[in-house]
Amino acid sequence: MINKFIIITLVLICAFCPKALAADKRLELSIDNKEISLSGSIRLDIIFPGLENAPEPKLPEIDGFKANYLRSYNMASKTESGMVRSTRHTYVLMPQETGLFQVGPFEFSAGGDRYISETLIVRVGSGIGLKDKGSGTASKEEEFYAKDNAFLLIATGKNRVYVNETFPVIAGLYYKDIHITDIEYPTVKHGGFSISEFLTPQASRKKIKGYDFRVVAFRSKAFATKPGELKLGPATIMCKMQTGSSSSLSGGFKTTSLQLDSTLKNIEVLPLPALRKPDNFSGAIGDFKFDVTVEPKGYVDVGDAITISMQVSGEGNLDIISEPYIEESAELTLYDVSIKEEAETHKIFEQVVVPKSTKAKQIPKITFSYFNPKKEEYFTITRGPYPIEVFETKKSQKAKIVEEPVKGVAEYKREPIGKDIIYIKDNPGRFQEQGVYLYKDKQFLFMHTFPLIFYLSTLVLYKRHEKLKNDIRYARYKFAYKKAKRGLKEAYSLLTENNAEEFYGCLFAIVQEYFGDKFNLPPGGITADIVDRILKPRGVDIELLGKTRSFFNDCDIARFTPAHYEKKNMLNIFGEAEEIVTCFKNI
Amino acid sequence: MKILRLLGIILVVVSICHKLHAAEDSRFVDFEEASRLYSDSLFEKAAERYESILKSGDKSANLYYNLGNAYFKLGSLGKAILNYERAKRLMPYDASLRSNLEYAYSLVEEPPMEKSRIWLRRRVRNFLDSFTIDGLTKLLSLIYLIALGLLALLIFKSQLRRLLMNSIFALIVVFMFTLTLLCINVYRTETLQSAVIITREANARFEPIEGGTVHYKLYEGLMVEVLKTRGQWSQIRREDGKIGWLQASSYEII
Repeated sequence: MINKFIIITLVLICAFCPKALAADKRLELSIDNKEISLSGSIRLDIIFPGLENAPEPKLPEIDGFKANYLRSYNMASKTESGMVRSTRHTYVLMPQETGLFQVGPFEFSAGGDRYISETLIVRVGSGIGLKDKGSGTASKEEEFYAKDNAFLLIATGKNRVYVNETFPVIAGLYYKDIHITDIEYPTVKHGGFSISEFLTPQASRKKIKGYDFRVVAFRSKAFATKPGELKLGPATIMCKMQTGSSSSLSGGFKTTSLQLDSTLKNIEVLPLPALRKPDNFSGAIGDFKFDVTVEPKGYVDVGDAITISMQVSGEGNLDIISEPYIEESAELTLYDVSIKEEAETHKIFEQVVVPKSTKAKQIPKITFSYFNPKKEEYFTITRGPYPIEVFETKKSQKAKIVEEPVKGVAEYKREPIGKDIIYIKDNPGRFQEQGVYLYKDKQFLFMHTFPLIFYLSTLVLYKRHEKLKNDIRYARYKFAYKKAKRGLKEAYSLLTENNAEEFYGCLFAIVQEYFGDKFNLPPGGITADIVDRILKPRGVDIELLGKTRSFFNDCDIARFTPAHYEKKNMLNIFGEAEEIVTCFKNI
Repeated sequence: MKILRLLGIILVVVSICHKLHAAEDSRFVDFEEASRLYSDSLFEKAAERYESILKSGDKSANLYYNLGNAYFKLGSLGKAILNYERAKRLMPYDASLRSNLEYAYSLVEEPPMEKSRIWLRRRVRNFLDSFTIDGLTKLLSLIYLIALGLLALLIFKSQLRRLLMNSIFALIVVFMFTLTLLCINVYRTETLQSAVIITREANARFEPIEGGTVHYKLYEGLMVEVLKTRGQWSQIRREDGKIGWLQASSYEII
């Protein structure tokens, strides 16, 4: 019973624990070519899905290859579950021998997870001749030159190609019994052909007619740009040859420059057949696959961008492939196509389309046509149409979701409001002359002087009032004349009444007060001596001084003997008083 | 004799007043007639009638406004904006005018201009446009009178000296600011000469000649400043500061 329990427990642990504890993840492997020659190389990509900045994996030794680390980068890709970020590490694998080899499986730990890859099989052929791929036997051309110590051959995959059809070009440097250094990249005369740059050369060994040759192979691709009987080559290579040995009497190695030329390659270039050429054919030649992805799928709003990714992959001339054809639609705005990614094995085009209205129901068919040179036939791959459902702008929808309607408050709906100008005015308003402004109006400006004059007058009067109030000397001087004049009037009424006693007393007091006010003196002390004491130093006219003195003397006498004076005398003395007051007004 | 002279003067004054009143009456009649034509959707005739009132040498904000509406209905966006801008100088705060002007500007095709350069210019222009020359003059007059009143009060109420002096100082600052605004607006109106493009499209060239290289394009309703005029050509400055030569028939001064 106990044994059964233990066995069941162990079975359960074995069944569930590995999944529960060791969360294994798939490591993606990809190579750009599964069949290469010994002189070639392949690119190996190791991808850690869902992990950014994964460290460089320590690649174990791969049987038949020498691996060199190239680079790494983070990348993001869209999947049905959303954006997936991953890390891609790239290696260059250089074959060391011919045969079938296995790349992988690899097992790495990164980010706390274990990543396990699949296995890939790669076939490595020998030599540079393509006809004998993987056979290891020498070509006729190689055998022809086998007696030479060094020779250069140029090989192409085909002798008959179509315009724009790509074919490999390999320049191979063969040498035996000599030491060759400083090998430069070959140059190839290629009138009528477009040839890409040669890749890093690969070195190998090959037995030709019993001789052991060292082979340095330079690989490239070319395509013809015009039809006809064209010649490719000759290829030329510059290098240095070392002869002799370190033990020779002449003192070691002797280095001489060496130029090697290959023979020409005759290539028949055919034009593309006009028969059954598709309408939308834009020159693609090769054997391709065509895949389309549309993001976002299904439901979009008016004005939202829909991204169409179109991937063309396969063998052929990817350089000259132009964008696939999308049927135009009145309900969609099609933007310019851009190339999102361009690699040796694929090319991805990206097209953005924007629905103009809710009437847009689908993304039209997308077609890609190409000519397959092997089958000598045109092919057209059609993808779509892709149905879409277009709604009005998202804002209103979002508002419905986020803003829960409050009870008792009417739900606000955006009312479609028209837009136009507001109607004309009923009356012309106040007319005014054109070019006339208030600041130019002289009357308006002149009116502003009145408040200023008013203010200044108020200020002056107030100041004067304040001075009269506070400065007694000034006040007495200011009012002396008026006061004297008023007194003279009173004196004159006494004169008319013939009241001599009061008249003389009044007249004397008036003049006495007048001088007192004028010169700020106590009036009681003013007598005839004022003439010498006050008036003389002020430079008053002598005649006036005499009159003043005479007035005071006459008054003194008349005040005490008024009966002796007649009205005539009174008039004379009143006249003197008037004259004195008037004459001293401005002194 | 004196009575006769006085009667003569009274007669002359009455006849002048009567003539003035009659002239005003005719303008009102024309205005009403033009408005009736507008209501009957005879926009072209309405515009002609409004223009005829302006030709008499008088202006009014509502007259420019209605004329702007008539041109708008005729599809002359440039002339509509021109008249709205003229009305704006007389009644900058009128809500209908602001609405119409804003709508008209929304229809103007704008060349690609550096936004940062025109943003400040437009802000300053809108600020200055919100003051009329007569409005600023009246404001200055009011400040002047208040300041004199406060000075007069200062004579009699010396115990309020500190408060009054602060108030007067503040008024002087406001006065100087208002005076600056007035000077700028007078300069803009009398010297700068803002204009509106009235043709559908106009080419500003590097030189004042027909075959001159096109510097940039201007579209109907865009505002420019006229710097100088040489014959049929005027040197203008666009809102972003770019200067070019334009045919004088392509624009009209506000």
